[in-house]
Amino acid sequence: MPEIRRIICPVDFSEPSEKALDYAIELAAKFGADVQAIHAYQLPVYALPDGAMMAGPEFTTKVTDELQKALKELSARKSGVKLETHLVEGIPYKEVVRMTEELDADLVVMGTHGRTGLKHLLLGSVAERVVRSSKVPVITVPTGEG
Amino acid sequence: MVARSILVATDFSQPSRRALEWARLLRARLDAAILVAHVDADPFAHTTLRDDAAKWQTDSERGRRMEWLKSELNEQVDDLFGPDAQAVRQVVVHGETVEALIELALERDADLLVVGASGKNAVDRLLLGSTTQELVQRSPIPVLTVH
Repeated sequence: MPEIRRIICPVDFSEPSEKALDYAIELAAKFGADVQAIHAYQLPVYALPDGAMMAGPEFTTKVTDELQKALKELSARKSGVKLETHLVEGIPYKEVVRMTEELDADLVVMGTHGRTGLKHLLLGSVAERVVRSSKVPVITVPTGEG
Repeated sequence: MVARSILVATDFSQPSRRALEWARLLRARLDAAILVAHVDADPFAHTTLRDDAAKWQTDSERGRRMEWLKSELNEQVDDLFGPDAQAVRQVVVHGETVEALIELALERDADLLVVGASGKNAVDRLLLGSTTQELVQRSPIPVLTVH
């Protein structure tokens, strides 16, 4: 028999992802579950003829500080359930699936159109990849759904 | 409100069974109405054989198939919902799976679609549930995909 005690919600600070977070919070409230908001980021790597250049530690710290701040602000805007935030580095869909297992979540709730709208046409969205790879059920919330 | 009216699709596969279990959980906690649907997909829907294929089956054969699918559906709903089965509505529709489900969801004012992660046939499995993938892309309402 399934049960919902913990919901994972990937966020990218876009409007659709915040809508999905609201959906997750509303559902969690009904089930007495908690919500784990996750932001996965990737730092750029530049390929050069004689190797690759990666972001230096100063830049990396700046980026992660900003993201932590954004996550804090996001969770400050929400209430009603226990909400925790996580900042992880890596390929977004893989990190979401990994965190789902690590945090022993029962459900993933996420928006179908995040920041990379055009890419969706060529590669499929992060949400579709999560749906494919996740071992737990996934609710995909489309853009425009209120 | 998150989900008041839930449409669950079943193709009688194991993932569909788990989808129904999740629908049962949501019904219990959210007091949502449940409609269970089976789409009797036309395998020739997107081919030039569509009209010919329709002629191969007589009306009585189609009727018998419909009765059979309805009783299969009824059995699955009874099995999973037990005493609550009376409150669960059921429907068998014809058509292309994704289109038929989206149409049905809009027609019945559903606000959540629950589906199993992969279809029953081998091609679907190879494509990792192409039907599910397409539903996630095209559905105007949230989709709960159960693995």
